[in-house]
This record gives sequence, structure tokens and C-alpha cells, in this order.
Amino acid sequence: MIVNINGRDLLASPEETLLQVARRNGIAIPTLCEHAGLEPWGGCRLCVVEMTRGTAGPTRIVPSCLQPAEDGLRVETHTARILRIRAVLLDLLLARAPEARRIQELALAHGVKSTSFVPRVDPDKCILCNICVRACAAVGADALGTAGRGAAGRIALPFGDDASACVGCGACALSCPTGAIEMTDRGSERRIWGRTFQRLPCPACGAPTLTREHAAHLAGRSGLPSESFGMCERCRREQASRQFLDLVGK
Amino acid sequence: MTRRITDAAHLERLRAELQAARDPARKAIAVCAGTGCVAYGSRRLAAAFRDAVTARKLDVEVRATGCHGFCERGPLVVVFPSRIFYQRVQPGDVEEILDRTVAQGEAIDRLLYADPTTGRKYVHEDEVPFYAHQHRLILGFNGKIDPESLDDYIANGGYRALARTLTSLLPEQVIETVTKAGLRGRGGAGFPTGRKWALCRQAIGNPKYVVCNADEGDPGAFMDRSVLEGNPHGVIEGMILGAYAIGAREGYVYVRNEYPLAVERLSLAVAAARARGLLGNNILGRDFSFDIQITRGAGAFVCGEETALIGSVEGNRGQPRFRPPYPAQSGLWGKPTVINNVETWANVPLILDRGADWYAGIGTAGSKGTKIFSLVGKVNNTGLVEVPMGATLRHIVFEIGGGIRDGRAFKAVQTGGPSGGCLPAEKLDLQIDFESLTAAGSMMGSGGMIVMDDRTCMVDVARYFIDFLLEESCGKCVPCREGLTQLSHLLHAITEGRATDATLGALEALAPVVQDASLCALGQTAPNPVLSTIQYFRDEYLAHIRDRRCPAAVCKSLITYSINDQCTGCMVCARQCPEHAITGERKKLHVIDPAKCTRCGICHSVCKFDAVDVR
Repeated sequence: MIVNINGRDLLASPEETLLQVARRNGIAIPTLCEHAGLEPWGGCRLCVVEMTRGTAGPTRIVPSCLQPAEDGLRVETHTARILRIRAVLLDLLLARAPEARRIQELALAHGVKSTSFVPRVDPDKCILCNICVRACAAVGADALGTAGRGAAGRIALPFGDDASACVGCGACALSCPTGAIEMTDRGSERRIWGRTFQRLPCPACGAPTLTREHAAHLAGRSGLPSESFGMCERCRREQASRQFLDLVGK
Repeated sequence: MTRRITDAAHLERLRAELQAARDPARKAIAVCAGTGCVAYGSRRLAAAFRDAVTARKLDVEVRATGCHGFCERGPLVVVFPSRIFYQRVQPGDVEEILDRTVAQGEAIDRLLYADPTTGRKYVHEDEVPFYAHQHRLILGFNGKIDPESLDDYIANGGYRALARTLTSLLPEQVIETVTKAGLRGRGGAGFPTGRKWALCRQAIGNPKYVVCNADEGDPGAFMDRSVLEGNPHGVIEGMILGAYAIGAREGYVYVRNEYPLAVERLSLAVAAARARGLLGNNILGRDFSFDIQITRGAGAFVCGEETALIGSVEGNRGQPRFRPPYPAQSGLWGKPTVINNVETWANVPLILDRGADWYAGIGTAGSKGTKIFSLVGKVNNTGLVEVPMGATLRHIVFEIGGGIRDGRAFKAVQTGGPSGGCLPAEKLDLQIDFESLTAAGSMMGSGGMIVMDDRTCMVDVARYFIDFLLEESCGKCVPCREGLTQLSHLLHAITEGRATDATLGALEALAPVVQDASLCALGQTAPNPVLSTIQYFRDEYLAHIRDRRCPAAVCKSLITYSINDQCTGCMVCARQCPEHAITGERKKLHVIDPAKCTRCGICHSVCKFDAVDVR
């Protein structure tokens, strides 16, 4: 099927979203709540585009991260209307999270130097994009959720302080687009969500790797012994390359 | 005795028996048992009637019925066979009604409805202007039948459409009939029901589900509650027909937990239908099985949005998601699902009973049938109003609603719930249907209709509804969550006298982005109250901004209370003022200290001499 984006006829498949088609063809669309490893969410709305079905259909504004490609769609990703929407959304986010670097950068790129709205009384780097919650669910820990509703919503542990389901994997902090989740690694100690975890030493080099709880969690999910997950990234690669060389007989 | 109804012929025999057993000349007293009348004490009233009838050993049936719609005048009573209609009946009136009306067929003048403008009294329910100008296809059942009696529903033609359909129509023909009738969803969007069903029937996936959306959350709207409380079997029959049409075996009613009476009557009705074989396996002896479960909502307004509702039924957080896929393709537990609202389902048996042509003959070219509106606010007659599509706002507000209360002037009517627009007097002759309301900057929504008089501040109205929607926003998408937060800040700045012309510009710039970029209908329609009031009442915004004045004298930061020379020095206001802001001696002009005054308005409401001015 053919989707026309910004005047270019592009080959697409029905499993693809408009965002995927655009990116594959070098058309940049800004996003905040999108993450390559997670299902699309459609919350930040930065990726909205104008879409027309056929030649005479009405123009609709849709999130490109969720809109499936369809044959004959005509899509515009950078019209004045779309740029205006993105600028207002970033202006709004800047009022909520003025300290968040990524928001500042995106806002500036859309001509917004400072927010024109009333800044939040208790500024927060979190923009409620839900990536952390979705990442935690994808890891299988499901330790995070959204508490409260609407503007009063916040990312929280169950009952506000129950971190017992957290395995200390750090997926939430590492995937957060605005750096709103604090995680500190000091030696073999990792602190996150008010809890301290011990990171296991790599059996090969001794460098701290994943937490004991994370290893146990992975073992439980995979059925493999937890030692299988203890090696650090560097040593695992070295081991793999050695195995490869052995295999090809060098 | 509850015996399973084995087939269509059995149902018709039962109906004939039930009808034969009913003597149309039998004396009966119908007491409204809708939530409004119950709140007015109609349960005590019905008990008083029953006690008196028993004590006197009379052969009079005392029947509790569903909501009649004229809630403002409750408790309502209709005496049969004379059909004399009484309003605001109290237990103290019981003896007199039995003596004079039941025994002698005489009307008691004091209990009759009197038109507040003309003073004319009406004896029968159908003559009262509130009812005479309506077309009560759906609500008509409410006053007629006992919602807790399946027999009553059957005697009034209930489940006839189902029996006929199961024995003579293929599922595709049911969809064709509903399509031809032109039924459109009553929940707000007005999507053609037949098309939705056809999409779901064609969708690949098994099992399929039907869902009844009874999460009626608009402030002031209660038509779905009234239908569920007054005629639960009508909704159940509609759902069975829908299930047959799309090929579903299971259905869910998602009803708000704040509607205990609706939940109770619906549960009773489902149990009764199940006991008689109208729900369950092999309905009416056919190769078709279907059952209904009731899910209670936990109180989030946004769960009325269909994808959020599905999430809530599944046990997830009630948050909308992007469509496509539409629920008809992938809904409950990822299976094809038809979701229609209470009123839509209640229309279905009527269409299949009386035919698509009959139904399509009511209404306008694009919107067929009737629509129930919940008429509230500053009208004389508040309550539920059912009119054909295409009726004018004027007809509803002035002929049925009896005009504005206290002889005040009409200012605006908000249609469609909190995110509907406010339409001014020049739109009163608008013929109401889905398209015309949207074109005027408002919407049909679920049928809320809030009438405002000249004492209403339109900026304050916009602020109120934006604050409501902000509170109810689920928070998933940025334009709704953060955009409504800022719209609220801007509107508060105007009503609190902190605004400049730039504030109005900011409102007008932000509102369209919230409309365009929001994920679901809540955010997409939320700016309607702001944009429509700016469009039709711009002067009022400018008065707040430029003159620091609230023309309707509502916004507390912009008004002052003062005492004029009508004051007789009665001292009532001074005694009632909670801030002790009023000073003055007996029989001398009193004075309000503006520094102490908190503008609560108590002095204004207690003064008998119109001596307190608000400006």
C-alpha cells in the first residue's frame, strides 16, 4: 500500500503506524511518550499529524504513533496548524515541568523559550507519559502505577510507599524521557523508590551488575538458574565472542 | 408463580391471560416511585395508600410506577380509571383521595396541577402542558407499568418484539430494520446504530459482546436512570435483540454505583427474565442463548467514554484509548463488542415491534425518533422531556418547560452536558438534532438541557464546567490534563478580576488546541462551554476584563453589596450577617462595610424591602 506523507508516496504495510512509516523515510516527528520497546500510548500528542482519507475526505488530526497506515492516506506532518499544536503542548508541558531538559529543548525547537501559562506551584519533572509504568509492566514487576486522576495524578508505588514488588532493575529510571525518577548506584548499592538493593558482582570481572531481586525475577520468569543472568554486559560480549571464535575454530 | 416461557406462542398465551385478568375499569392508584418522587417521600405515601386501602377493605390496587418525568412536582399520583392526576401529594391527602376521587370520581382542586403563568388547573396527566407537548415513546412506559413486575411489562406488549424477531427474522434482517429506521446512538456521538451492529456482526472474533452504557454522569442529566428505574425490561429486551443481531451470548450493563435504585430494579428484572427463560439458554425455545451481567461503575465521569468503560469492565484503570480499533472490531477483552447507551437500547424493541417505517416517520431527515432531554435550571417545569427530533429549543423551554421561573428573562440554554455549548435567545428556534446542535457550537450529548436566566453569569458558567471537566479528566493526554488546568487558570483570572485583554486571547488560542489534540471526546468537547460563551456573550467577558464588572452580579470578586434608601431599619440583615459587616440603628438606614463583607448574599436574600443592591 502507498501512504503519501508530505507529498511523497511511501510504501507501507498495514501493520505499520504512520510514525513508523515516517521515521523509516527520514521524516522526523517529535514524541515524548513513545518508546521503541513499548506499545504506543498516545498521551503526549506531540506526534499528531493531519490526515485525509482519499481526495475529498475531511482532514483529521490523529496521533501518528497509533494511526495505522492505510492505502491512499494523505498525511502532513509539519503544517502550520500542527506546529502550532506542538508549540502549545510544549508550552503547557513547560508550565508543568520547567526543569525537564528534554522539554526545554523540544520547546525551544518549537519557538517556545519560556511558558506563557501559569507555572505549576510544585514543579515536577514528571510529565505523566507513563513510560515508567509501562516499562515496569513489560519487565513483569508491575510495581508502579498512576495514583489519583487527571491533573492530580502522579506516578506512585502501591499505597504510595510499598516498593516490595520493585526488583530494582532501573527500567523506569533509564527509560524516563525527563529524568524524573531518581536512581543512584554507589558501588554495589542501588537506591531507587526509597529502597536499597544489592547488585550482584559479575562472576567474570566482579563489577556490580543487576540486583539480586532482578536476577531472581528473571530466573522465575525464564525458568533458568539465576546465575545465568549475573554476568556484566562487557564480560558477556567477551564470552560470546570467545565462544564464536571457538566455534569457527580459530 | 414463575414458569419458564417455552416458546413464542406460550408468551402470547400468557400475555392474553394477563390482559384478560386486568379490568380496565378496576380502581387503581399509581404512585410514582422514581428517585425524585422517592426523595419527596413517595414510598411513605404509597405505604399510606396501602394501609388505608387495607383498613377500609377496598378493592383498589396501589401500584408503584417508574418516573413520570415531572419530578419537580412530586410525589405524583394518578388515580385510575378516571386518570385524575395529582401532584405534591402528602400522606395527609390519602383519606380525602380515597373518599372523593377513588369512591366518587371527583377531582380535588388543591392537588391538581396549576400552570404557574396562567393559573389554569388541569385534571388529567395528558392535558398538563408539560406532558401534552411531549411524544413519550420511551418514557410512556414509565408511568404505566410497575418496573418490578415482568408480568406488567408483558401485559403492556413487552417481549413481543423479541418473540416475533426470534421466530421470523434473521440476524441480518434485524440489523437491516434498525438501519432503515435510522436509529442513532443516544449516548452523544449519534453514530448510526445499525451500522455499528453490522460492523460488529462482520468482525472476526469470538465470543462477541453487547454492552449497555449506563454510566450517565452529566450534571443534571437523569434520563438513563429514569428509564432503567422505570422500565428495565425495555432495556433488557433491546439488548437481547442486539445480541441476536450481532451473534453475542453475553452482555454487560455498566451502571453507576450512584444509582442504587436503578441497580436494584435492573437486578430484579434480569433475575425475573432469567427465571422465565427470556435470558439464559435457548431463549423462547430457540437456538439462541444470551445472558446479562451487571457491572457497577466506581464513579469516574470519563468511564462513560466507551473505550474507558471497556477498560473499567475489564478491571483496569478507566482511561480511554485511541480508536481504531473501534469496539465493534476489538472491544471487551479484545473481542468485537457493541456498546450502546440505555436510551438507544430502549428504542430497539419499539423499532422491531412497530417497524422501521413507523420509526423513520418520526424526527428529521438525519435524526430519527424521539430524544429524551433532562430539562433543568431556571424553567418553571423541570423534569424529563421526550420530544421528536427536530423540536425547537423554544418549544421545549417555553411550551413544555413553561418558561422562565419568577418571570425572569431567558438568557441561555446549555445542551449536551458539561461540555456542551451555551446557546443564546437567538438560537431558540433551532430545530434540535445531532447536526444542528454541533453546527451551533454545542452538541446533543446525552440530552442534558440546563436553562439559565438573566441572573446567570456566562463567564462563571464556563469556569464552572471547565473546573468540572478538569476534575474529571483522566489525565492520560497532555492537552486535556494540562490544557484544562490552564483554561481554568485563565477563567478564574477573569471572574476574579485579574484579567487583561490578553487573557481572552489566550483562552481563544488554547481552546482550539485542546479540541484538536485531545485523545477522547471529553477533551475534544471540553472547550465548548468556553468557546460558545465567548461567541455569544463576548460583551460579558469584556465587562469582566475591562470594567471589572460582572453584569449578572455573580462573580464575588467583582461585585459590591450596598443598602439603598428603601431600607426601613428593620435590622434583619445586620443580625443575619455572619461577618458583622452591617451597622445601623433601628428604623435608620443601614450601611455595609465593604472591607468586612464577604459577598455571601445573605443580606440580599433576607431583605424584604429590596433595599440591598448588588452591583
